[in-house]
Order: sequence, then structure tokens, then C-alpha cells
Amino acid sequence: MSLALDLRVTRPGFVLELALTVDPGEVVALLGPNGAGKTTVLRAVAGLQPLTAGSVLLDGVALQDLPPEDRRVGLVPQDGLLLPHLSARDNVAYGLRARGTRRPEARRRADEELGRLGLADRAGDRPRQLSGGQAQRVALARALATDPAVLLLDEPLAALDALTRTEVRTDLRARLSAVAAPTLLVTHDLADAHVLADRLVVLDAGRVVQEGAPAEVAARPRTAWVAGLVGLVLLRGTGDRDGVHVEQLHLPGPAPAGAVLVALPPEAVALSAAPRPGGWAVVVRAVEQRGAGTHVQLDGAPAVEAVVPATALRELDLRPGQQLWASVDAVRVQVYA
Amino acid sequence: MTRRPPAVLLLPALLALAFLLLPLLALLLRAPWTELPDLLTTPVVGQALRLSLVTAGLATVLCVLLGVPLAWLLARADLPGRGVLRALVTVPLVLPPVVGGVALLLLLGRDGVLGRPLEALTGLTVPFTPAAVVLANAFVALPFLVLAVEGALRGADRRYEDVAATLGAGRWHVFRTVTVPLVAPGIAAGAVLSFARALGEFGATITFAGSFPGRTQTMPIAVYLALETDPDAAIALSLVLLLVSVAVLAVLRDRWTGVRV
Repeated sequence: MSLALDLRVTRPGFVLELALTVDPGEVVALLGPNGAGKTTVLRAVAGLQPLTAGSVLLDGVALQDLPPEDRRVGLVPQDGLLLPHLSARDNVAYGLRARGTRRPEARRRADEELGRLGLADRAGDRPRQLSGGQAQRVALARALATDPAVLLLDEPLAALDALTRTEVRTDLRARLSAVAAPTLLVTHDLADAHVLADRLVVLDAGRVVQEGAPAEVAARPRTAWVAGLVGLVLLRGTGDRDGVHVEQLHLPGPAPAGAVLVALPPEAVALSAAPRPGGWAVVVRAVEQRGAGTHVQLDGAPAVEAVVPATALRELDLRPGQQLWASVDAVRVQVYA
Repeated sequence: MTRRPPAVLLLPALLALAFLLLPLLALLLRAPWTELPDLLTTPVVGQALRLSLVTAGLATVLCVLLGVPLAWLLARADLPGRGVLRALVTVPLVLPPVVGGVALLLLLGRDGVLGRPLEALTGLTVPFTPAAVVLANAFVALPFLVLAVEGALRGADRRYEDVAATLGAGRWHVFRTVTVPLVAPGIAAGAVLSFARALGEFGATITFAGSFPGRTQTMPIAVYLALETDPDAAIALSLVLLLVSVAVLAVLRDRWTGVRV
């Protein structure tokens, strides 16, 4: 089964446009800031959000006019949404029962699916007796029990604490590798996408802004939002025979001609009190202790971010409004068209 | 240090409290406690009690069967003029019950808009029968159930229904297996309120169903009539109604805040 989407959804103040093909067994992560339209994509595929125009094709068969119950999609919603009045087992059996499987058979298969996710001993529990990680796994089991033709995961790990998150992520990866259905995963965490997805589609304001393998997207982000996720500052400059120019910043060396993107790790920016060749004047906007280093937001042309090692901190005596000189270690910078 | 409330507020507040509680206290003080077992087993009292419980119970069942779908329609369906419809549903809440009784007579009486063809076709007449008591009760009690269930439906998370639909459940299956269990507390609260309202019904019942002992003479009507002839029986019946009210409050005590009436 392969899934081909050509979606257009318009709401007041919002337009979603997405063309995307997901191969059998492939996991595509939809990444993007809040309001980018990620959940709308899942709801459109599931039949819970009517399309303004376009199509949802499953192996060439049009689904867009079918109601959700006839689409054979498995949805793992944000925060699980297990039916509170049913046991874990009956939650997992729900889809089979709704499609006419007899109760003993449905329960047997539910137990099987729960066992596969290591939850055999929690089958009789009500959702409120389960931990967040367990509930999320039951929600996954419920979606998979119906043997869906398409699997949709809406931020399946967002509600979990860091430790449980890693654990459930590992289980999820193992389970997904055995799923033959095309899978769409909504997340705003690049780490989830790295572990779980074969391909990453970055959405912003209803449009695809970047697409590629997770590692490639992380190394060469095309939006400030993605760059921020991996701790880079994204600058827009021009390349020519001479190198790359971003306002007063000049990076010598070979570069693509025309408009280029420059991904700048804050570690590549050095600060000094005195002017330096190749440097430019900046003003300290904010100083923030984060992790092991001191992060400094700098206004200037261009505005950048720097990490100041503890040794240099004493000499510079950083405070907002202070004038400094910034320079960049060109070797640690990614330049791409 | 907590400050004393000002006397200008405290005094009327205490008066209001006394005004609400003293009549009930008087009822308890004047109750013929020793003769109570005998009074409650006299035929008139027994008949009225049984009739009231049965008719109020049937009216409650009718309210649930008709009111839950109506509440669903008001809460979920894409209806034009939904606000007007909701306002119309609440009319019996503010209408004097006796007017409701008159209206029911004009609809279902022997000369009524529906009553005349009904009698011509089937030979059945509704007014002044136990069925009329049930209808009068349901007429005044239905809005309580509709509003309680509609509030519960609006408060329920619709995403549960969405998930159920993706799992292959059609709309009726979703309604039965997801919606109803989710709003069950609201339905229960609405049913209890409806039962209490039906049990206390007087005006619409006596107008539309009359007061035939054993057939249409419910407890409130029996209380009113007994007050002239047998005050002790009236007090005994009043005590029973008071007890039911207290029981209703006890059942609703946790749910009250969740119900918008």
C-alpha cells in the first residue's frame, strides 16, 4: 500500500497545501512549529477534516469522499485518548468489535497485540490506572490491532517525561519496523524524527519548506525554526567567486553563486573587545546561561549568537548594550544554496 | 483574623435561611410520627404513592428516550436556528404548569387538534387517564433532562468520537459505545432531576388528567385534597415527598456543579 496525498484545506487565516507520497512501510515525519498544519494533515487523511480540494489516494484508490470509519486508518492521537470507560484490552479490541469481530476473538487478538508491546499484564486495567507511557503504547496497540492500511501518529511521545519518552520511542521504533503500512508521524521534536522516520517533511504555515533525510535536514536547515531546533543560527547571504557575503560578514572560499543559506553554530562565533580583521561590530542583546556555555545574543549586521567559553567570560565582562567584535571560524560553517 | 460580615447583609441572609428552612421544620414538628406507619398504608395514600412512582418513573423513561436524542441534536447537529430551538425547549421550564395542562388538553383532548382524529381512528382518548399523567409529567420534566444532557455533551471531548470513527465505528455505533458512556453522568443527573420534577407535578396533571383516586390522583394532588379532609394523611404524604427531594439532592450532590439547568 502506498499513500499519495494532494491536500488543500482552507480555513479563515489558514491555507494548507501539501503534495506527498509515502511508500509502503515508510515512516514520514511531519515537523513544524505549532499551527503549521501538521495535525490537520493527519485529520484530513483520517477523514476527520474535509478537504477544500485535492485527493487522498491509497494504492490509487480515492479515499477523500469516504467517512473515517471506511478508510482503514490507524490513528494514535495526541495524549492517547483511550476510552476511559473501557479496559486496555477492550480499547484495543474496540476497532475489531466495531468491524464485526466477535468479542472472544477480538479480545484474544487485543491480548496478542498488547503482548507484543509488553503490556500483557495490564490488559484488564482502566486507562486511568496506566502510566503515560503505558497508555501511549495501548493507543498504539489499538491502532495496529485493526491492521490499518495507513498509520497516523500525532505527537505520540509529546506528553511523556524524558525518561519514558526514550523508552517508548525505542519500543515504537521496533514496532514500526514491522508495520507494512505507510506511516505519517507528527512531531515537533527532531530527536523523535531522527529515531523513527525515514524521511522528514518540514511544514510551516501550511506549506512544505523542506524535505529530506532527518540528518540532512538537521545539517542544512532551510528555516530559522528548524535551525533553532538543532541550535544553529540561519543567515541568508549571497555567494560569488569571492566567497559568501552576509551583510558585513565575509566568508572566503568556494561558494555557490547567488542566494545561499549559512548555518552558523554559535560555537563558531568568537567575540573580542578589540576590532579584529574579518570581524564586525556587534552589540550584546541578552546573556543566558544554557548547558555548559554562556550563550550571547548579539545585534549587528548580521545578528548572530555566540557561545563564550568560561575562560573568555572573565575578560569580556558581558552585559546587555555592550559593544564587541564578532568573527567567524569559516571551517565550522555550512554554506548551501 | 476573619472580619464579621456587615449586619446589613447578615440579617437578611439569616432571614432568608429561616424562610427556607422553618416551613420544613414545621412539617417535621407537626408530623404524626406515631401514626405514620398506619397512615402510609391506608388505601388512598398507598394508591397515590404507587401511582406517583409509576407515572413519574415512566415519564422519566420517556424523557430519557426522547430527550437524549434531542440533546444530541442541540449539541452536535449543524442546525440552522439552533438558539431558537433551544429557547423553545426551555419554555415548559418557565411556563405555569397549569397552562401546560391546558395546552395538552387542546392538543390531545377529545376536541383537541390531535385528540379528535386519534379518537376517530382508534377509539382511544388520552385525557383523564394514567397515560395523561405520564404525558403531563414528561412535558414539564423533559427540559431538565435535555439541558442536563446537552451540557454534558458540550463538555465531552469530541476527539474520543473521532478516534472511534477511525477505528471503523459508524455514527450510531460511536453514539452507543462512546458518546453515551462519556455523558452517562449527565444522563443520570438529568434523569434524577426529571424524576423529581415529575413526582412533584401538580398543575399540568390536575388540568390534563384530573384527580381520580387510583387512576390519576398522584401524591401532590392527594396532599392538596387530603388537607381538607384528613390533614394527618396530607402531612404523611408531604413527608414522603420531602424524603424523595432529600434523596435527589443526595444523589446529585457531586454532580450538581456539572449540570447546567
